[in-house]
Amino acid sequence: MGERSAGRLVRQGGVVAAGLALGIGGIAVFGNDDGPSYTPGTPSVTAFSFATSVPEGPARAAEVIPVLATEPADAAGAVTAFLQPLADGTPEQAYALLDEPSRKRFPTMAAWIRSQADRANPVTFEVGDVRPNRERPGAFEVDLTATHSPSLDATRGLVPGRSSSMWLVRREADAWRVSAEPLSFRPVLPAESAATDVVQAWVTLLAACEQSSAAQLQVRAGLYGPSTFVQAPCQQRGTWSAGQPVGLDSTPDPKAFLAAFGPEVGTWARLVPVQGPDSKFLAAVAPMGDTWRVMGVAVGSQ
Amino acid sequence: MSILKKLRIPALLGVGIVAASLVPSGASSHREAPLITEDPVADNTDVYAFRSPDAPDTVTLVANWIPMEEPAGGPNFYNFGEDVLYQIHVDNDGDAEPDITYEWRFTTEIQNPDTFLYNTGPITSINDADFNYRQFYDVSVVKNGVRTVLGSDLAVPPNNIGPRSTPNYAAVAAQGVHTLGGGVKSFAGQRDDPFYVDLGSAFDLLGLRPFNGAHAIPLPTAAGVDGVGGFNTHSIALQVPISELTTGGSPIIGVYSQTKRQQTRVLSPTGPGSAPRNSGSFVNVSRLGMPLVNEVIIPLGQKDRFNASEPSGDAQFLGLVQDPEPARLIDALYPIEVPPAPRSDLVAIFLTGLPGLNQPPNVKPSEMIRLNTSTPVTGSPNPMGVLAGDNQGFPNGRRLVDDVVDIELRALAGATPFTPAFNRSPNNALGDGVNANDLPFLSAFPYVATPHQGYEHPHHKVGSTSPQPPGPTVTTGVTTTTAPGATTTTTAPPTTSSTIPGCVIDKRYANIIQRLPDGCSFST
Repeated sequence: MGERSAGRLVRQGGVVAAGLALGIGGIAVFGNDDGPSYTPGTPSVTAFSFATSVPEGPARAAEVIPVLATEPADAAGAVTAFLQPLADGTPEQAYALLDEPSRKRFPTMAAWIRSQADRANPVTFEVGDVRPNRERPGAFEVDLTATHSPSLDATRGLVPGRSSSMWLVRREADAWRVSAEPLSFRPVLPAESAATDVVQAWVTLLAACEQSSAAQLQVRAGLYGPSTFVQAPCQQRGTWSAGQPVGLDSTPDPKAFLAAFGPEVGTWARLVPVQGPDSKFLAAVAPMGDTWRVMGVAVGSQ
Repeated sequence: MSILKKLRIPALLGVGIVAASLVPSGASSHREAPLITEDPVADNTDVYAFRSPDAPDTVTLVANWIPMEEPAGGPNFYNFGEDVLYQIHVDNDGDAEPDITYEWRFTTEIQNPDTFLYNTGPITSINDADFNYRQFYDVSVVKNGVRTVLGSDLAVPPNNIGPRSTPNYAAVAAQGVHTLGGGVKSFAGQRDDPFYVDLGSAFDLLGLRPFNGAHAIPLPTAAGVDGVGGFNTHSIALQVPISELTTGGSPIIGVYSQTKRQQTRVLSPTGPGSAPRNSGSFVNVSRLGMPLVNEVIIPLGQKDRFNASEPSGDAQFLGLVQDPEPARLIDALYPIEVPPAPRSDLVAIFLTGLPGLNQPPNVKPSEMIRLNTSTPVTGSPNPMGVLAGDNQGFPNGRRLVDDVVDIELRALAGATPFTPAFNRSPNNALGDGVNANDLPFLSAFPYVATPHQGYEHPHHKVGSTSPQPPGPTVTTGVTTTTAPGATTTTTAPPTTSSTIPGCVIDKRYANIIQRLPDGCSFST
């Protein structure tokens, strides 16, 4: 503004006055239609009706990171010291054991605590073999078997009843530190033959129009995939039978499952062919602990 | 009986193809960053947080996605993304970290995949057999690292198609209000876009039609035009007891939304793998708290970074708030002086909350809507919110009725009690001339207006507007508006002539204006 000439300021002052006048007048003219009623605006208040200052409170306390009572003696000990608090529901006790890359990913304790909602933390675990990691000099891989509280949802995905995993442990400043996520994680699935039995029981209940009882054999009340298939057993007279489980690639339309669970769904979900008197479909099952439960339905290949 | 059963599908196919061509390419302020414009179902357009007027012991949180939905956008109407994680976060202790996170995941169920029809007959209930393309959702809350499911398989009402398909739309949509445990109510589905702004003028070099004559490139003055009028959006609304939100000890909460997608998406050309495969951790693709921040405060080169960032890292954007480009543009495009940088007033409004009103103790500056849940609900909300003395309004939370565009314009121009020297006309009268939504809001949850139907709807309505507060009294041939202590100016009603009075264009624009309008010249 300071560079503007006085003449230009005068000129622009005239412009803004005319503009304001024209604008307000214009709205007065144009605004008179059948639109919804409105509350005319008012000029900004000249003073707030609240005190615009607050007394300084005590400074925000820095996050308290629990100090390790004792440093783990080796890689296996580090994994144990890291996972036990997670199993105990005290993840803050594990934070000090995170390795440097993980600390960058979870820069605050609050972020680390929040992340627990998306983790498949163990209920019990057992540390297995330890060996050097070939790609990271000085780092070690630690095998683990664990049990979990099984669950399935579209945000966290599958939490199996049992798993085998491999954890990465690094040496940082003469201390053992653990990567937040395992290098590999493999759910231990129940016997596939059990899937046929579950689906047979499920479709038999549907054929008896016992939907609420059938829902007890489902992961949840709502199923992924076209619901019309689920209505068929109750509508058709005759016998319904479940076949042997097959992979998820046996349906030409796995979109509902992929959208919910990503490509990992192919590693743990199975499809069980269901044959009725007049129609057929595939029942998708998910491992829930040591058994299978129906999670959806899909069209079979022609 | 469904229409599908009465009519032969091939006869309707032509209709479907024609309808598809009606979908607009779209352009709006909601498309605030380059990457997110390519992903409408993840594009968060606005967030609202306010004490519920009819249930004042609760707060209603509303977040909208999918900008500028053309109501006639069939045959594939609008839906939430199945592969998107929708979130609303609450920080209840001012540390810029979310203490409570509400999450939504959606699933789609096509009842009859052998038709192109969204509905195979009139949809008369939310569970109607003719409602073919249905969505359901789960809503969860995450506190202290523990996720709790609040509701599962909750039905989403249909899009508002038209009088044949959705003849009693409001009643069907009302069935989408789900009462959950703990005094929580939930709704997710299509609504009228409650945001109102003169998009067409605002992004035409920050034009304000009521002030057109004062712009560096003047045009005939005109009433504001609601650029979002006539368009719909998809709302997620949650009503939660205040006691559930203010567990941090302060009545002040910070609210913002995030949209997340998994890191990797693989497309396959054929076979069972033709469905997209998403994998990896969920990462931020959209983030929104205070309105218009990423749209006009964050520059193009940082917009995508802002969307991917967390409020706890907002120190990186502090300089952009202290010296915002729109304030400099107001100064450059209009003969209006604004306070010099660095702007501590804007830091309070956008990043910390107003001390004494909605600033949490020991707040860590970060961009989110800050709501003091102890502010009483007013029976007559003023859209100008705190700037009109209505302390329940924006920027103390955000209500649907709040005119955030005008409030922010004035704030940028320094027209607040923080900077008294600039709290004068015309700064304190700035506005886009659009002062109300194009449809009335509902009096009960979810409050957001019923969406426009596709069969018949208006767009860009001129006149759903009112003049923003005039400093002076202006007498025209039609109406007189008076403000206390003002001078009087008399003028004739504007004409529709293309003549531009006093058309002197700042020479700084000489390199971007290829051809001057008739009668205009550059300043010397």
